[in-house]
Parts: sequence; C-alpha cells; structure tokens
Amino acid sequence: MKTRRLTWVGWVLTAGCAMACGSQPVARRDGTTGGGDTATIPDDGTRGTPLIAKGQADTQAGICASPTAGTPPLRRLSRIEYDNSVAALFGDTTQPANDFVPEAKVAGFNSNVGLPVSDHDVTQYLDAAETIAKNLVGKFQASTGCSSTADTACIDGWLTKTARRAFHGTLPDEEKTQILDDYHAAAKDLGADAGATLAIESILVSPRFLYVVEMGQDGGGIVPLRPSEIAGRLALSLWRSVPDAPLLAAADGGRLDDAAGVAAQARLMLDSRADGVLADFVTQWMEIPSVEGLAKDNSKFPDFTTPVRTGLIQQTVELFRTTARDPAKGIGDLLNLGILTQPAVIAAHSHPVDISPTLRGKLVRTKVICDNIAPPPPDANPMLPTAAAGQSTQDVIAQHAKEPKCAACHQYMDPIGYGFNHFDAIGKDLGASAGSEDGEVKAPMAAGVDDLGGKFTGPIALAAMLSKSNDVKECFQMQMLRYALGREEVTGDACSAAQAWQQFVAGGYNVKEALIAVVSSDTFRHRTSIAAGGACQ
Amino acid sequence: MSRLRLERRRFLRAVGATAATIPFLRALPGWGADPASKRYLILLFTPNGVVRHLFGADPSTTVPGDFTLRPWLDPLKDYKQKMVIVDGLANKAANGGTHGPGISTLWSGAGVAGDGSYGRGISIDQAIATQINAGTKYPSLEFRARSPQDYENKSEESRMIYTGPGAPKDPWENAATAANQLFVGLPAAGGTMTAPKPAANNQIEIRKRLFSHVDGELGRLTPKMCTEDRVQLDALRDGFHQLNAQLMTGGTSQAVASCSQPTLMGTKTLPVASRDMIELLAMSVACDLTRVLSLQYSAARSPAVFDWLGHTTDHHSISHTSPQPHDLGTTLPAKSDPEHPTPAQLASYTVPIKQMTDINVWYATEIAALVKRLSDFGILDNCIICWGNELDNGSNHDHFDQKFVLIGGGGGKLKTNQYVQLPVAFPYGQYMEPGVRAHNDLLVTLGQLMGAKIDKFGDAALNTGPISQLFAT
Repeated sequence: MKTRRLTWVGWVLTAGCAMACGSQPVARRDGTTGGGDTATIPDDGTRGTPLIAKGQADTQAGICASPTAGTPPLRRLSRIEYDNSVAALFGDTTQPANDFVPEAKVAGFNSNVGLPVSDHDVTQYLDAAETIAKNLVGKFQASTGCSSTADTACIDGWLTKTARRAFHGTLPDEEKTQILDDYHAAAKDLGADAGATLAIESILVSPRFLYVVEMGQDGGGIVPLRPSEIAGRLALSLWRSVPDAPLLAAADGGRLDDAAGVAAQARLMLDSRADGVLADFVTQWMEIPSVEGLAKDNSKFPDFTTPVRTGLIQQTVELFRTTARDPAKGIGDLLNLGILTQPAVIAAHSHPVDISPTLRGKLVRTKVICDNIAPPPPDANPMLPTAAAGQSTQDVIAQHAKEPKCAACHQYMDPIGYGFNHFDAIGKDLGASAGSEDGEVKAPMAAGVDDLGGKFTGPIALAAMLSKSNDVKECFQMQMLRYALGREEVTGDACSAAQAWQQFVAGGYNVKEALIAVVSSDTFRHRTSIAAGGACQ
Repeated sequence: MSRLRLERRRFLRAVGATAATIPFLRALPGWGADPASKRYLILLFTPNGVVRHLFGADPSTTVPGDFTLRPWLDPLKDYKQKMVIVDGLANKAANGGTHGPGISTLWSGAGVAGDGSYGRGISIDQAIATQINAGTKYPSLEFRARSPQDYENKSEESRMIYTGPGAPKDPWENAATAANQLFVGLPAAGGTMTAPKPAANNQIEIRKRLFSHVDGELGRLTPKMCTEDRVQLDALRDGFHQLNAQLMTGGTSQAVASCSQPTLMGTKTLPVASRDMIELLAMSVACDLTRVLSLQYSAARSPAVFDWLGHTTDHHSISHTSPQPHDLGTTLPAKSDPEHPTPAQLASYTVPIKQMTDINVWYATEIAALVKRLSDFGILDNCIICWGNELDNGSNHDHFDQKFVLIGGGGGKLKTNQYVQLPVAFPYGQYMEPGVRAHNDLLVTLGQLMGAKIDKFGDAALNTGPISQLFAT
C-alpha cells in the first residue's frame, strides 16, 4: 500500500525509486535516494529533520506565513467516541457502540472517514438511541437535574446545553428551536415521558452528533474555525468525546482564539480525562489487538490466559501513560524503557506458536520509522518452508534475503526483527539460549536526513539507536498528527506539521507536548471554506 | 492509504452509492406474496481457496450423469440430491488479484484494479433484493461468523456484499444484538406464533416523529455542504428512510410454524459463532424476514486458527503450504492437472493437505448443519444456497476455474442432483481465454432463478449468458 509522506512543492521528488520495495517516489530535499551509513546525529533538534520542520524554513520561506490547513472530510464518530460521548452527556456507561460496525484503518488508525454509513450503522444508531433514552427517562432526575419529565422549563435548559455539547460545540438557533418545538409537541400529544424520550433520541440520531459539522468562520480560502468548533475538535482529539461546559465557556470567552490559548486549554484537558485517549493511541500505534485477539496457542502457552493478557495490555498502556505524563521524558525514553519489548507488543507480532521477525520488524519499520512496506506481489508465496532439524526460525526467514523479489521489501523488516529473537510468541525473554539477536536497521526509504541505520545486537541497542534518530521522532509526531486529526495528512497540513515539530522539539519530544503541538497548529484551528454544492477541495 | 485512493473512493461513492440504495425505498409487496413462488437466496462464503482434487465432485464412471462428492463435501452427502456442483467458472473480474479482489468481486463480478480499495459494483443479492420486492420486513440480511483472530477493521477483505461501487454492506457480527433487533415481536423458542406485540409506550409514534425530525434536520444541513460531504449525509438519510419503511410497515410474512426467536450460545469462538449465525440465518428464513441472505465465514485471507481441531497455524498460512497447482501437473507445462495428482506428487504435502482438509470438512459440516435446519423447517426446497470462495487454489492465490456448490431447490426452479462441468482452460491456468466462462454467468443465473430480470451482471464483457444446465425445465 502506498503512503506518501507530506509532499511539498519545494521538495525534490526523485524520478523513481531505486528500491523495488515501496515502489514509491521518495521525498528528499537533497534529491538523492539517500545513503545508509550510520551517523552520529546531534540530538539537538536543530539539524536534520526536517522532512517537515525545516522544509519551509529553509527553502519555502513565506509559504507558511499565513495559515494553511487541510480540508477535513466530514468525520463520523468512531465507536470509542460514541461511547465516551454518551457517557459524558447522559451518564450512560453501557458502551452501546461495542456492537457498532468497526472502523476502517486510515493512516494506521481507526477512522470512519470516507465510508458512508450502511443501513446496518443506521439501525444500530436508532437502537442505541432508544435504549439510552429509555434508561435515562428511568432515572431522569439523577441524570438531568430536572425534577421529572414534566419539568418543562428545566428540561428546555438541559436540552439546550446538552444538544450544544452533543453537537460538538455548535447548536444553530434553528436546530435548537426545532428540538424544543418537537419536544413540546410530543410532550403535549403523547405525555411527558414520550416528549423527553423523543428529545433525547433526536439529539442522538442527529447528523450534528454522529458527524462533526464544522462550517468555519465567514470568508473564502482558509478560514479559522469558530471557537465552538475548536472546542469540539479539542474534545474529540484529546478525550475522544464531546466538550464539557468549561471548555465551551473557554470558547465563548475568547480563550480559544489563538494558538497559545488553545495550547493552554489542551494542557488543562490532558489530565486523567485523557487516560482513555492515551490508551487508545498506544494500542493502535503498537497494533495491540483485543484481549481475545491476543490469544496464542493454548496447548503451547497454557499460562497465557485472559487475565494475563488483560494485565499485559494494561502494562503497556501504563508505561505509555506514565512516560507521556512525565515532562522530563520523551519518545526516546519511551523506546529506551522498552515499549517495543512489552510482552503485549511482542505477542501481538508473533504467530500462535512461532515468533515472527517479519512482523516485529514491520512494526518498527512502519509505525516507528514511518516507512512504507508494499504488500507482497500477487504471485509471492508468503510461506516459508518448515524449519529443518537444526534450523532456527531465523535460518528459515533468512531465505527471504536469497530471493530478490522477497528481499526487496524484507530487507527492511526481517533484520530489525532478528533483534527480538530472544522473545517467544507470548513475549517472554528466553535469553541467550534462543540464539543470536544480531540485527540491522536499513536506512529509511522515505526520510529527511537519513540519521538512522546500522547493525545492532538486541532490543536495548535497537532502542538506543532508534531513540537518537530524528527520523523516528518525526515519525512519532506524524503519528500523533494522524491520530489527532482522525485522517491521513495532506499537503495543506505541511506548515502545521512543521509548527508542531518545532514545538515537539522545544518540548523535549514529550508525548503530551506532541499532542498539544498538533492541536494548537494552524491545520487544527482552520479549514478550507465550504463551497456549498461544489467540490470539497 | 494514499490520498489518491481516498479521493477515488469518495468519487466512486459520489457516483454510485446513493443511487444504489434508493431502490430500497420499496413500494408494495410484489410477486413474493404468492407462497408457491417463495424463494430464498443464501450466499455462503468460506475463505482461502481449496486444494482442487479434494473439493467438488467426480463424474461417475458407471452411471451416466451421476457423480460422487469428493472428500471435503462428504459432510453434505445426505443432501447430494439437493446439490449442484458447478465447475469451470473463472473469476475473471478479480483480474489476477489475490484475496481482496477475490472476495470483492465474488458476488459482484465487477472488475477491480487490485489496489486494495473496495469493490466496484453491486452484488447479485442486493440487485435481486431491489428487484423482487417481496414485501418482507427486510430487503436482505447479512451475517458473518468471526473468529477471534479475524482482523477487526472494516476492509476490502472483510466485506463481500455491496450496495453499489465502493459501498460495502456491513454484516451482523454479534448474534445477540442481531437476535434482539431482527426478531422483535416474534415468539420465544418453543412458543407458538402469534401476532407481533404492539410496540410499547408510544414507540411507533415517537419513531414517526423522530424520523420526521431527523429528516428535516438533514434537509436543512445537507445543502450547506460540499459535494463529497453531501454524499455522506445522503447515505445517512437513505438509511433512515429505509429503516423507517421497515419499522413502519412491518412487512408481510409467510413464516413457517417453527418461526421463533433464535436460541443462541454466544459468539466468542468461531464454532459457537458459526452455530449462532446459522441459527439466525435459518430462523430468518423460517420467519420470512427476508428472501435474500448471506453468511460469511471469517474474511478473505482468513487468519482463523482452528485450535479446536488441534491446529496451531492459521488458515491462511496453511493454505499457502498446500500444493501449488503447477507442482501437480503430470506433463508440465502443457497438461498440468491438479485435479488428478499422483500420490508421489502429494507426498511432501501430507501435513498441510490434512490441515486444509480438517478446515474445509469443518466448514462443510457447518454448512450441512444449516442445510439440515432448513430441511427440518421444510423450506430447503425453497432455498438456493450458493457457496463460494475468494480463490480457487489457495496456495496460488488464483481464480482459475472456481467451484461453486449450490444446495436447495429454488422453489422448483433449480435443477439439482448434478455435476455441471463447464469447459476449463487448457493448458491449465489460461483462464482469461474467451472459451472459459466467467462466474458472472452464475450470478446472472442466480438472479434469474430468483425471478429477477437480470440478463447481464457485473462487467458486461465478461457475460455470456445464464448457465442453462441449472434451470429445471
């Protein structure tokens, strides 16, 4: 699958790819396809990277002087966003979206961008709305603060507040009027409970709840989002939920009008309420499946039970959270603290019985280095022969290197994976008895400075190498951008990626700072103006 | 996913998806009201291809016209007289692609570029559903039995039913939710059929007002949006319209006496999910909830691990270790014939062949359980089950001359108890030749057997007309 790093008019696109793998023009500022020598890169954030950061500063001065932004496709709530939102709005913690249709992977993260709802989605939206409304009416006072469903004046106020939050910050007057009018009419015709039920359901099936509708401020070209819309985006990106009253008050009070204000607000929001987002990010980034999906062959690993797997996933989440929250720690620390050898991460990149250098190497290559690996050609036999007596898995995998068609891509994955050879399929460290863990990182296919590459022995040395690389740090910033925006990056995001990178550097490559940098960037706070009835771009 | 691809998807949706869903806004019951013509189409999918010489049938050497089932179909032997094995159709629309293009063209016959995006055309079941207008509660129902190892995300490989280009239809994956939502008002298991219970607490009236409210809101919002975003909102509006039609009419029903709420076990493993989905599907037929159904096992490139059969390797990996068709040729390359390998040729494949056999015999056993359920309900003869796969030879990712298994009776329209051998490519593998029929012809046949007016389906150039042998005279 092709993934293009940010393209930018000033970047030099090589005419073709020297390597068969990726089959993709590689953006390099110096116009070469890069070398692979290991270099000692000063970790001062000023040299190099620059794939994003210095592109404009060096060669495109002026282009980022006024805000630029990508055009956001209409974003539909994901399952986690739906569940968090109904918990925040109605106190409903039953996670009704568990059964909703799963999202697609967009740039590596779950997203509903691009695919229209199916009738199945709509059926489930209605069913969830009816169930939530029924539960709420059953405990009305506790949930709404209104004495009963007959307390119309109180309900009017509650509905208005709730609808604005549910609609991601924005409640146009005509929609407010319609909700209240329909509520009053139903209460009068069908009774107080039915009226309240309709009102709650009408919020839950509204396109303004299920989608994030952002009109932006008046004007043409790139326009700022309305402060309420920024509040909606912040809540979605940092909480995967809807805004609360203080956040909307910040919007109304002019405190989200500039980048500094948004950054300050984001900092406030990234407290324990962001626990879920950090867990969601790290499990998707490290490709950790559900507890069931992480299961291995029970006869070989009888101790790898559901509680054990649950605990191991939690362990990875906690490592990520504590590192993210420590202002003195950055992405390099996360690698050196062993995120890649977390048992949940290793197990997720293993077969039911056997280890997989390929899957492990691919994780590092695609998720940590942001290189792209094309799928095997259609006529490839993806299976390796069974290991003969005395052969290690590595010996068998090594056959990839002998077949040029395989080697084109596998040279970028397998040798990295060899560094994890001491870890079995459930992530247990078997030590030296498991053979060699000599590996090699080939220089990135698409990168700015080529400050990565070389031989290493074992995951600690690998982490040390990765943690020093600006390519790796830049990749992490890009993953954050994709996750926060809920879409793949486009050219219009380039200036913002550069802004975010500089902030990330200034913030010591801290995970939390990476998020704050993205949400205070121009592309997060702006959009292209909408041409009603015209093309979206 | 590249930006380019996203753009293309959005474009495809802009031109196709909405138009395809409109016919679901159905009018009054059509011909389906006549019990004699009550027919059900059930599309079945199992993944990762086959080992040819073990799947399908052989012509009898003694009785002209008769045939024997090969080992993988042994679990279905009691129903041999209700079966048709169709051999020799190439999936040309898959255009040499692998798993994803295989599944996304299986029921659509609409060519793909092989670039990993979703299928390019409506699938035959959906085309039939829009035409036959049977007046049932649902135009169609889709079920999927998932294994714990299945990739959770929505992707080309996990979808086989399409309402239009780039518009996959999502199947029910949670049996309990499906049972709760689809079988509302029907009697509990063991109970007797009664009139549906009236909805509680003004529910119908509230729904009516809710649909009206959201319709008005979409009517105000959509014109403010740009084109691609309008497509999204139009799909939502179509969905609500369709749901409204379902909920408000309730549909006509010719349920059999056994119709009841399905009895389920849970969905955590593939064996349990399979039986639950079979129960849902069979009961949907018994209750006449729809005439067009499908059941998808796992997904294309299935990573399911059949641990209850003692396997530790996933199905996809196993499939690739089974023999390559060109390894089985007797006089390579001119006469390669994977239908009749010699024991010597198979000697080095003992383990994967046994494992592929375990898996596919298990699948056939599950399908036999579905067939038995339908038979016990007395409605098997009204059904046409069509069982397909995203590949022909699993080891080779190809779509040479795929075998399809049909079971049922189609209300007397389907000519059963036969092995239909269509001309296959020679040398083996030259399946794009004009002399080899594309599986589009089977899709057209299914449409006509179900009473739809369909002369061509999928890519027009791949059609040569229905398969005449499949029609009872």
